[in-house]
Amino acid sequence: MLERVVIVDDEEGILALLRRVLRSPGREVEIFPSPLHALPAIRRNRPDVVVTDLHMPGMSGPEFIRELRAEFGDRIGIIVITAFPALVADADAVANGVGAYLRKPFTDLELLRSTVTEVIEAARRSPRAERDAAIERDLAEAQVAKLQHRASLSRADAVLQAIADGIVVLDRDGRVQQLNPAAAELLEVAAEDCLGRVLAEVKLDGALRDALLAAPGQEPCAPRRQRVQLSRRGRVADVRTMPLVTAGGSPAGSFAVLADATAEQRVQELKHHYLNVVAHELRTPLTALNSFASVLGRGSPPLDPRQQRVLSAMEGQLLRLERQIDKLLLLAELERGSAAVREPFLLAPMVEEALAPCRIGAREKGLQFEVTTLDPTLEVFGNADDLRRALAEVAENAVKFTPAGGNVDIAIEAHDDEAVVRVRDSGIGIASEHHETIFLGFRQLEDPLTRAHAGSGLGLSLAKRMVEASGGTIAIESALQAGSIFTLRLPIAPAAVAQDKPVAPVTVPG
Amino acid sequence: MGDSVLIIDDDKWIAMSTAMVLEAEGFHVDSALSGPEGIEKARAQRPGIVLLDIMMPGMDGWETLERMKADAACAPVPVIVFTAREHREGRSKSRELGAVEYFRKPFRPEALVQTIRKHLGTQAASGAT
Repeated sequence: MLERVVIVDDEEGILALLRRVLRSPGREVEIFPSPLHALPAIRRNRPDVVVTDLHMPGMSGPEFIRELRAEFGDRIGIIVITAFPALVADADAVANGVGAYLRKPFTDLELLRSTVTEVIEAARRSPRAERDAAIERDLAEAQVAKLQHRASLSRADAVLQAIADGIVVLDRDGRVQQLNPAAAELLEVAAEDCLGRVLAEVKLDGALRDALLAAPGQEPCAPRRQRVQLSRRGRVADVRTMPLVTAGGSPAGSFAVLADATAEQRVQELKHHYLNVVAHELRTPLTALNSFASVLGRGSPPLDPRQQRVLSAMEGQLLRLERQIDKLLLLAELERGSAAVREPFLLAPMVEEALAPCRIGAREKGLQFEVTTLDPTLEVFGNADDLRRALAEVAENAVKFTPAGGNVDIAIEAHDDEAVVRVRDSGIGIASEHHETIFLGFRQLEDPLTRAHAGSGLGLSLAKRMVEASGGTIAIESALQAGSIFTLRLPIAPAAVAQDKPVAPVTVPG
Repeated sequence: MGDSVLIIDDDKWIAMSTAMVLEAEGFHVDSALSGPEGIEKARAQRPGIVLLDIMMPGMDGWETLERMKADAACAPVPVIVFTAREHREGRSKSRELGAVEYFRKPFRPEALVQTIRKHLGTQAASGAT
């Protein structure tokens, strides 16, 4: 760091000499004819050392020295120029911490230089100077941190600018604090028209504004999701809102994430519409065919045995076609997430009804089929139709994959707040790598002609979805050649399902 | 009329095949190919029961059902909704609107016959009190 020396003397010759002698590449020297001239410059830019005469106009040397000490302590070294060092080295001068004396007339120029250097070094080593240096370092670090923060802010800003989701931040008065371009695009506003304004007063799509303003409850809570139909251009947006709270827990406004869900919604609607049309178009002739077959079977004169066999086979194939259509549709319906009515119902009769067809299938195949119900009054909560179908699928699956001579056991137990239905078979089992995929339904990517568990089709994925729609779970334990256990857990009391998990509130510095 | 059935369905093959099944069981069957025609026939003939399709062009089954239930002349006639279009909400909606049953197409012809008998029976019983 550059050393700075200030020389104060009313004799021009001395000023010029000292400047010439003391100046060096690492050291800057300033000269002043009196303390009054010097002080402003010293205050502006603190020197390491002040070299001063004692007798000067305006302000005396000792006065000047006291002033410097009062203001700068030991951060400035002081050297006094005098003809009689022994005389002036009085208590006053020492008390004021004069570091050295330069004796006039100057004979040893080298001594001049070394004296000044020593005093500068001493001043720089002083505790206050070190503290100052520390403060300066801290300041510099703070400056760096500030720059880095600014850099990271600009990174955050870049993300905000580029992200496809709309972000809107409102303060506690409902004023727009942040509104990124994606949000502006979706809201069909200009960000600069919104920033700082109360959102309720900005001209916006009504449904969207309601969704944005719906959030700010005072309590921290899970993000609230809404799908909003925009009035213009048939667009659809997903809006997730959540309140912001300060670290101290007081409300600080709200945060909203907007996503354009128009395309997604269209695909979903199209898929649903398409499946419904297909279903209707296929089911209607199927209905007529069933009726015609029924009429044919009951006609008179009765059919001969061969005609009867052909008719039965036709009816069997009609039933197969119908089931396939049903499964496809039901799965599509469940994927769409439409709600089934849930209510309490008796489990035991439902189980009996669900298992009736499997019981016949098991008998025909030569399997042991056992059902153990502990409590005939046990009630569960859910959609009885869905759960009956789910259980039927699981039991049918067990019968299908258990070879003759094996057994299928179904046991129902009550545990605390859930009913547990266990379907255990001694069948071929399912390798652990397939435990996930057997539930995947449409998303199952394997070729149906080559997959290991041929024929299980959509049944198990349907079962899983139906059980889950009723707030239950389904799990599998199985290994190849070691049989399988499917466990259905069904809530006994109404339970909150399909809700967003609670999350920690977003906090902002407050 | 005790054992008469009115089928309201825009698909003539459904109307025809269902009529054949029911006639084989001894019912008197008439059919209408639209909602308005169905309401008119229901008012004029007072059938024992109505089989009503939902997916029909123009006035759909829901609207037909509502109008029938709002019309004193045919409100007492039990209505069985039968539809090829799957609505998980359909069952509860049909109940709300006053239908006695919700049948999905395709149905088992025997099951339909059984259900029609059941409701004709209750109607006869309630009519007697």
